[in-house]
Amino acid sequence: MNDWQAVIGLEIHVQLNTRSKLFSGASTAYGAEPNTQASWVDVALPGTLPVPNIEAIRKAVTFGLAVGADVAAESIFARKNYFYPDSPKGYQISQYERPIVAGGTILARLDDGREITVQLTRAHLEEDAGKSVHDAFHAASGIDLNRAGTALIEVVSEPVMHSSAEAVAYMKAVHRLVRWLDICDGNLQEGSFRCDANVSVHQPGTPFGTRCEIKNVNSFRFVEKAIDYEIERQIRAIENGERIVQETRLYDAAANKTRTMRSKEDAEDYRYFPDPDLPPIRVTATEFDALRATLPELPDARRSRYIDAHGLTAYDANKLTEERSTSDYFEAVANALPGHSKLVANWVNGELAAALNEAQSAITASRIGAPALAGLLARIVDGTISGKIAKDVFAAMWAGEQSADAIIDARGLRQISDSGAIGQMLDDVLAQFPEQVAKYRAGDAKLFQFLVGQAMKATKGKANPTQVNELLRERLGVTG
Amino acid sequence: MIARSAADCADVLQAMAGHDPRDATSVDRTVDDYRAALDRGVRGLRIGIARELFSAGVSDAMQTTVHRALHELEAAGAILVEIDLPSLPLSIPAYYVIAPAEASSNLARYDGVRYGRRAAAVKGLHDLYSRSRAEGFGTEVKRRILTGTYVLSSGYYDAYYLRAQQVRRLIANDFARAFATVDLIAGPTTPDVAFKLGEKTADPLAMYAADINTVAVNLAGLPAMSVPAGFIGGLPAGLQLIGQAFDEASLFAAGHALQSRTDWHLAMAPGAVR
Repeated sequence: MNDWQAVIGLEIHVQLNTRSKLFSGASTAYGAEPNTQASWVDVALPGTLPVPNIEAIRKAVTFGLAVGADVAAESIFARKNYFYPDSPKGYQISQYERPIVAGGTILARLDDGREITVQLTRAHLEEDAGKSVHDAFHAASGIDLNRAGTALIEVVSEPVMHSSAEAVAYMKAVHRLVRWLDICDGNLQEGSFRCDANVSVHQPGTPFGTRCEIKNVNSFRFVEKAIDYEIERQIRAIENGERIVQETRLYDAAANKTRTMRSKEDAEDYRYFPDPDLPPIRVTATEFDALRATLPELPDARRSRYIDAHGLTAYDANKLTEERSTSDYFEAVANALPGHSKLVANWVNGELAAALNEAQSAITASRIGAPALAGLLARIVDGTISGKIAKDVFAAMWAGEQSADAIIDARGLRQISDSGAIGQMLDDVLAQFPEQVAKYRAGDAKLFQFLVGQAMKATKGKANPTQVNELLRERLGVTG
Repeated sequence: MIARSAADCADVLQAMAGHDPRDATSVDRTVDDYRAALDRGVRGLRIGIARELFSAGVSDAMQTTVHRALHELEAAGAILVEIDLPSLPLSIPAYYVIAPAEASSNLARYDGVRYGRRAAAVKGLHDLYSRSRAEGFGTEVKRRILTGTYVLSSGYYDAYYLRAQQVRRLIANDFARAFATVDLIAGPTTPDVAFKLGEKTADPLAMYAADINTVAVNLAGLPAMSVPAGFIGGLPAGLQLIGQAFDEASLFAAGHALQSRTDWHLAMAPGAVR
């Protein structure tokens, strides 16, 4: 049978990049010595109380505004009660009945160009747990509370995706958005962006199947593989006459398998109730307006603008809007060179991207800043240098030499655009290669490029290539 | 807070009161001058006598004793007004749902992992939790944790915890309505004088019932003060004064006025040793 349809919903934990924790002043910096960034609130000493971090609330509201959700003017923190050593209070402060963000949509683009719109159920604020360290001590586990209390938003999608490709495209779209909004550093390795996937299968037209939740997957690739494995497993089980049990499963990357972590019967009753230590979160109209005003132009809007107003290809527009810093860089250069966006896009996505990649450098730390690149491209636009020479100048700039103009002057790279001089040089080239000229005239068309090449070589690439082509054609009696 | 006199109480609260930036539920507002309030007197102050605070379960002796104290305040110029707090009898069931629910969660941090009692020679995590907590908590605390866990459980939350919060709102509304016409509300602090140590341990509901007059202010979020009002059979009796939110000043004014006219707060119970 081949008509199974997978139904997938994701819960993404987005760690907010606030400097301090959601309810304490402790630092959230990653990688410190265990328990050096846990305050008395994070350790849950008796008598300590949580005080909400306004910056975290602002970032949650920003997310809600960016996805077109209903952002609650009043939302409530609730306690999720359970015992675990990395949960020092015996409960996690989260949101339950009235989350800060309800609804909203995410537009995701698959590798094949197909677009899907994913509805969000909600996004709620909560604190992260600490970490258990199971391999550091003999016959005991260690507890590191540095992460305990770090602010998260949990972004919950509706079960509207039907393949691992859709799920990954959605996850990447959320990832791009939260980095774009500067609310999360997006570091998957450090756990700043983690995903739980709910997967079930059914035959379209019949009720949804029983779902399994795959916990804590922290890479795009593992999400894809875990979902694929899980879909296969469920279909195989059903076709073998088995019943799917609702349960939480873990993905084992080494074995590329999911396995049972706990079944629904073992599921805890979290006894959610509003946290009496925390008054409702209230966001005033003024605060909404202020946050709306600081909302950056979103990646999808920029992408459309690049295609519609700048005339870029979908490919270029996609690449430029993967990261806000790249897009901002492009804008800065393109604004300096009105009407030449395509040239700018080629350089940002081409030469610059390659150089940054090789140097493992972020664009914000680029050795060639946007004004410098604009200075270089301006010399292509005004005909001072050719695109080919520009690459040499770019390399010199990257190596730390000065501005494009200084390099062009110092090295005498100014393009030769004097038709008299170019004509003279071409006459010399033709005189030097009579044999090739004769063959060309006899019909060997590819020798035209050979002669162009010789002309460029004679001028060390400085001759204006358009003029070289034109004048050479004239001399060889080629029309059109 | 327990002090020898309303005046001492005012001094201590003056030092304690004010906004605490490390407590999100604390309000940032100007604190009254409590010492100045002590000498304000009670002339013209309207004191509500809540029928429900004097109803079933309050002993005759307690009724008489508390009314004697109220007449002193009347003699000092206060105006006594009869009022009703119809939802007040619901405060015991509401309180003994809400308080244990919060306690069950608040006490979860005593798990033997980071501090406090930790059972010896445990076999695994579950054993560490259950034995540390079984050894460390007393009977009454365990009872409240179990009650609180039950009322928050899936399927019972609406019937118990949510319902109790709704009752709490009714009680708060009763007080708000009353304070539209009076400045303070008065009644006995307890229905009767102290029972013997351990006397009601076997019957926790009877023990909780003794809290009938005091838990309502906790549910409604109001300040209250118990002032010595004399002795019944050698045991102290208290007059409870309840103020509007943030109006501790009126409590001190009334308490100090009473203590300026009487010496119950200086008296020792027969047989007591100073």
